[in-house]
Amino acid sequence: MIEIKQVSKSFEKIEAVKDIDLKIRSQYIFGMLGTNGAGKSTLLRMMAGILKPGQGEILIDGQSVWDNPEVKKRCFYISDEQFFFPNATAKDMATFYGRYYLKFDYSRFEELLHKFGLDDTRKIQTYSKGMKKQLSILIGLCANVSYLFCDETFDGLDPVMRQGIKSIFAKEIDERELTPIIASHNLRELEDICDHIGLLHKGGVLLSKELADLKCNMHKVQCVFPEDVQVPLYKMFHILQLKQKGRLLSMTVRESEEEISSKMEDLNPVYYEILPLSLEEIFISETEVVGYDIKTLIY
Amino acid sequence: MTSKRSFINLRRENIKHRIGMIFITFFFFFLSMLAFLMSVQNICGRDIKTEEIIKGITALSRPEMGMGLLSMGAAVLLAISSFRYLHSKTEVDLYHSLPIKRREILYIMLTNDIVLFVMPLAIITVFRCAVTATVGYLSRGFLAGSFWSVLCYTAIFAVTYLTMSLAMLMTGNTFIGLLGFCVFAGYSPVVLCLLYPALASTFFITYCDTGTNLEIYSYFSPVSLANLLLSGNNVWKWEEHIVHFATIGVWIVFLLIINYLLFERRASEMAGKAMAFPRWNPVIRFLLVIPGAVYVGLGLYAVSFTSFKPWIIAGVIIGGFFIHGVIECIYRFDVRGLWSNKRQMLASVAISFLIVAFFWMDLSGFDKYLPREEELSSVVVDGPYTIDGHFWGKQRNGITGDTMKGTLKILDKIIGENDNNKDILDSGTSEEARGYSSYRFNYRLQNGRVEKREYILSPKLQDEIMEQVFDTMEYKKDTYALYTADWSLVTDVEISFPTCTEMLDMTKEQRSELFRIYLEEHSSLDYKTVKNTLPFGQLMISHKVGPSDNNYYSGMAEAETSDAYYLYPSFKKTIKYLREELKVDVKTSMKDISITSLNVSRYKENSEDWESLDIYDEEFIDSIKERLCYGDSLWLYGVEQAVDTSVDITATVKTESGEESYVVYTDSETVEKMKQQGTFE
Repeated sequence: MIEIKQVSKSFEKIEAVKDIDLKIRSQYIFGMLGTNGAGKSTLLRMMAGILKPGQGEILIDGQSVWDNPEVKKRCFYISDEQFFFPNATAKDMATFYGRYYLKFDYSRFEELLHKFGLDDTRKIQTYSKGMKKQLSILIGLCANVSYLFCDETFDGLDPVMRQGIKSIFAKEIDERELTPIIASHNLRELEDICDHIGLLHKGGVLLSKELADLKCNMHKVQCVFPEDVQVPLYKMFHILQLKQKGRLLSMTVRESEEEISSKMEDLNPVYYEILPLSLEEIFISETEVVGYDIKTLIY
Repeated sequence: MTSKRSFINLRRENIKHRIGMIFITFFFFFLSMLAFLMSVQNICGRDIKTEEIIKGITALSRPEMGMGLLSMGAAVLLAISSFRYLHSKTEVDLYHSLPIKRREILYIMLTNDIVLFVMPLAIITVFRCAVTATVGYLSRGFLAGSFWSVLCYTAIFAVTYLTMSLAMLMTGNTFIGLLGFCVFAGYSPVVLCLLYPALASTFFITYCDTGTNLEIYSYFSPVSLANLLLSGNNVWKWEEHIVHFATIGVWIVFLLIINYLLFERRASEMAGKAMAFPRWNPVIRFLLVIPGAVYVGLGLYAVSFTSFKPWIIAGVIIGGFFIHGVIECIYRFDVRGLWSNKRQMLASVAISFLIVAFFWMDLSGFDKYLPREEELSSVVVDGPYTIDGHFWGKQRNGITGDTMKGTLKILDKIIGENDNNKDILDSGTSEEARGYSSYRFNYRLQNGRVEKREYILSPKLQDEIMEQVFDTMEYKKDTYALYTADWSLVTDVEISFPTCTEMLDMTKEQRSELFRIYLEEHSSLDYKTVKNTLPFGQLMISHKVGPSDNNYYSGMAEAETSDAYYLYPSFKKTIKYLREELKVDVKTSMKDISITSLNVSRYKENSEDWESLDIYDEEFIDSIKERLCYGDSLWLYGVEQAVDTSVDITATVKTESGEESYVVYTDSETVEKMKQQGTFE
């Protein structure tokens, strides 16, 4: 488990991360969402032990990560622009990382390279941007670490590749309790991969929830009541948003589908329909509740 | 903690990514091997004695500047290639995310770089020994020289490497790192060292800097110190460099500690920025802007041909603003930073002004300084043609006792008149300035300090001071090195007198005897005689450079120089010895020499043109012959009181082979008589 305790970090006068408190459970794919400059990379680099927090501390499995090789052995950081030595091949890079990550799985690396169609004898500088990203993910996976920090690593990968990686992640989570932490500014890309989402904005965490909870507990309800019936909707439902167009009511409700159905049956409406919300809609609703206009934050 | 085994792996991995550096280092060492081979071949090919060959080859093993520069170059390149990763965000992300402690990264880099330098150095040292053994000249001296060389080059490498790595650590950009290295290397021995002499020579009219020991500034620059370690008189001797070695050792320890602390504290996010420790930025800026502004002020004044001192103020303002702006632009990587931190800029300019004002207004009282009698231990007096570094006798002790007290009283007058005399010498007509000369006084204080001043003396004051000091043995021993010098350093003695110059062929014993008799007579020579009597000839004593620390010729291989010792008609014993023992036909006057004409020339008043007067009147020439003395410019040294140097006189002399011209001198009275013989054209 990763525990981020009251962590702040400033770059001269710019406060990049501000009093963040966050817990990331093991064996989850944690998605860190935020606009450019929200503090995602800074937080991730602090988690990887590259940057020292200005205040607070980051514990991984109960130990501070800063300048602690014992903890860092269990972490692998994939930068948004991973460095590869000039003239190095994929094999050279694997050898390099193998010196530091003693559990590096060379046979699996070869196998994955083959699967992803990457030539291990070709110089990396001749790879495309997407191929370099794939290579860095493969190296990270083969380092056999518990925590994989990916900074915008999936941006630019095609959906097929994303699904491929997601299935590898799922397998790794089952087999050796991998915990990937993925930072991105693209909500739709994270939606495919993550179990848990944290939304960062202006250096702070706006919300952090499990994706399943968010999806199961929030619904869009469209209904029409008889003309002479007055319904105390706000008393009965946990309404986040309510809109009315003629007699058609549209509301976003934080309740399970069963609870909403049972209450609706009691109210006996003319018509009602319960619709699932997309992750995007969930975020819009959640952040509006805390006073933010999500459209200006993410898009 | 990483195990020893994995350390070796990690070091090997680090080496693998620095093939280019390894190639460059080995290539330069290979070139030095070739140079050594050529030198050995050259020495062995000479037609010289075996001992000379061994001496020559042994000299090749000693530390020398070429290899020292190579070591410095290798150190700079290796430090850049190791610490460059700190200046790249992507590389910092890679290295600092690895499961290894920061200090272990530093350890890997340091040890690898030492290996990369020491390994080729050891290889070429073994190679050199092998080559020397093959040609049959391997000696204990060669092995000792090789040992000191390896030690020297390693020390130079280490201190330069750690300085460069410190510059790389303190900055976030390699170019700025190189600039930082230049600042570390040059700040003390260039910027600070020259600041005081530059200001003092501009504002203090009594300032004289000859012989000032500025070596101390080199101790504050590791790179400059490395240069000192290699310097020396002809043959490098380790005994002369113990202090340099010790100081370099201290520097290495200090730099190691500071590098370690900074490496641990350096924030990864500083990659790509100009400076990695922004808190130090104002300090660095002050340290650079203040002397920089002063230098620009002095520079502008120099460009104006030192004609108008307010140019210094303009220069300080321009320099302060400009240098501050440039540093700000570098800090920010943005030209718009030129006007940032205006308060600091104004503060820097203000401090520069205060420094300039301190010197300009002579707030320390430098020019009026005269030590109290109880503070003084002695005073060394140097006439206008005495150069400290030419002195090859034992230490100069100066005048003491009552003579010193009397001198202090005259110095009080000298200081009082100095400003006026300086004006006369600088701005007066040549007639007004005639006879004015600069005299240097070294005040040796009781506390061990030496204060040096140079004053302009009118002819009257010159007479006063010389009447006070000349007759004392203290002054003579300080002025005429032959009294205290090691006579074994003498290589030749030449005698010159009217129309004749010849080398004295004598044994060592005869030479010692000549010197003894000469000095006996010279010691009783008084100022009255010197002032009123023209010497008839001179002994030119050529000698090797003495061991004096402040020797003018320090560092020159096999340096030789000569001193003139004048022969006066009153030196009867010397003349007798020369005639009877050394069989020299000494002529003590020009009266028996047939002079057919005299040419007197001088500068035209307020002009660079010459005008001359020819005298053919035999009767007149015969009447003044005895007042003429033969000589060249060396005559001036020490006899300036007796001769008139305002004109150049050439005598045309009838000889067996025809006519020859000689430079002659005479006294002021005779010069006046000559001038009345015609008009200058």
